[in-house]
Amino acid sequence: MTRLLPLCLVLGGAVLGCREPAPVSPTPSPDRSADSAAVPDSLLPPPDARAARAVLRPFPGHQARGVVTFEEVRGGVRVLAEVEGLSEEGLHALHVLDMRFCLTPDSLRRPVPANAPHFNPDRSRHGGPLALEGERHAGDLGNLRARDGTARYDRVDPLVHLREGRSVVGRAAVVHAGQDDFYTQPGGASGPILACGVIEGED
Amino acid sequence: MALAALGGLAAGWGLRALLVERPPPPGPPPEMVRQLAALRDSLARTEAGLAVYGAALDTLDTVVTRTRARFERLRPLLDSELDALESGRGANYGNHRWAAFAYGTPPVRSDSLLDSLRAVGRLVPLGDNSRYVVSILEYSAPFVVPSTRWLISETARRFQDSLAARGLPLYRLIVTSATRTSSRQAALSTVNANAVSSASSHEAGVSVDVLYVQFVYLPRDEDLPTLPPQTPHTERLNRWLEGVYSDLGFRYAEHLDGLLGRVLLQMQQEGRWLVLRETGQPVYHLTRG
Repeated sequence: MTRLLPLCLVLGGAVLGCREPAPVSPTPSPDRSADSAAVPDSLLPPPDARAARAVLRPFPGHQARGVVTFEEVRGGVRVLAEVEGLSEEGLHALHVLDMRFCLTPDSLRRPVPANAPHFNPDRSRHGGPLALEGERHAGDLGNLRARDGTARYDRVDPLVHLREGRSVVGRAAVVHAGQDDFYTQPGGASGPILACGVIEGED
Repeated sequence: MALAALGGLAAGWGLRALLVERPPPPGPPPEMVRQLAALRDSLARTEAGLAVYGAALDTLDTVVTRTRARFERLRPLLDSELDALESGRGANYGNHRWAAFAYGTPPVRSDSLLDSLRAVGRLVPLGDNSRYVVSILEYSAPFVVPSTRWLISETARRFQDSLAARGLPLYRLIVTSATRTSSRQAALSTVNANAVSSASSHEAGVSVDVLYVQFVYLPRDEDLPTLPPQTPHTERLNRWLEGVYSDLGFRYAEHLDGLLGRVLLQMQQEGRWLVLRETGQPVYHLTRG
């Protein structure tokens, strides 16, 4: 049928009977026209979707920098990160910390330490980003992989929130020199922090 | 004579040692008696605890052995089924492109077009749920057309139903690629020999890649046995068992792929998916049929 599709499209599929095979599954299938017309609200972005953004700036002695954006979508928050200045050797952990600063708010202005706690409103164990609720911190976003020095990360995360007590807004997003192993407690043995930025809400 | 006198003397000393009353040995001090009693009680409790713990371990051992046997009974894909997945209708990439042309969005050439298509609901987000997870995407964006999202969920549902019917724990599918903009497709083609440098069905929002060498265990209460009452560290034992289930998913990935491959062949016959089992990377390239 698919091989005949071009011919059907050219000659007028409906006339020639180039229809889809009837579904046989007992589970109802969505009407294919739903992809292009009569879009129900459930498929549209939430009307009051919030967004936030962190600009990652390098810590002294490092070159990594980038931007992480957070955007509410149905089913979670889309986390989109682009970070440059990373080594192509190995992976680099991406975390949201419990801390609300990148440099200590005292007169010393020291960089936030690598073992600072991850954002963890559920008081869960540390884990990987694919783990279920209760098996990871909300701030455990996984690892970045750099190619040509730049890493890209795109994922809809069901445990990241931009509202109320579970919101990541105001927390620090960081990139580490090393890979998160997803099991060492409580930080994933990710090494020193290369870059950091506080997540700020966008209007 | 002298010898007899010496013998008599020795016998006399021996008799004296037997007949002289000795003072009774001193008993243990009361404090030590109390400590010994406490130690005995503690030992008894420990033995009872070990018996409970041993019973719990026996239960877990039985569960693991039974689960492993059920995995062993799963049939990996036969050569004929592999042929069908690697060289069947879906193996013709031209078919995927035509399906993308027929059912997909216009080619997503840029992030701004992707955002426009999202805004009107033609592309919808693809996030983790109990059926599947979406890995961190480097060359694509986690959005697809609604019917493709439904098909992934339906595929995972049938896969999990097959597992449940065999008394196995449930595993989630892993989606590794979704919609690519033209520029990301071009970038990917420089690092992945399997990625076409020209237009890909991934650019129309109708295609996804699903791993066939790795599955993610879905923790459920019904996978955990009822352990004897008063079993210490029940939560840790259950966590250990869940780790075993995760490991079994890795060890028997080929067997799990047997189930998944057959689900996909069935859905291809139903006209729902075009299925291409890639060999350069361990994924099924799926396009809405």
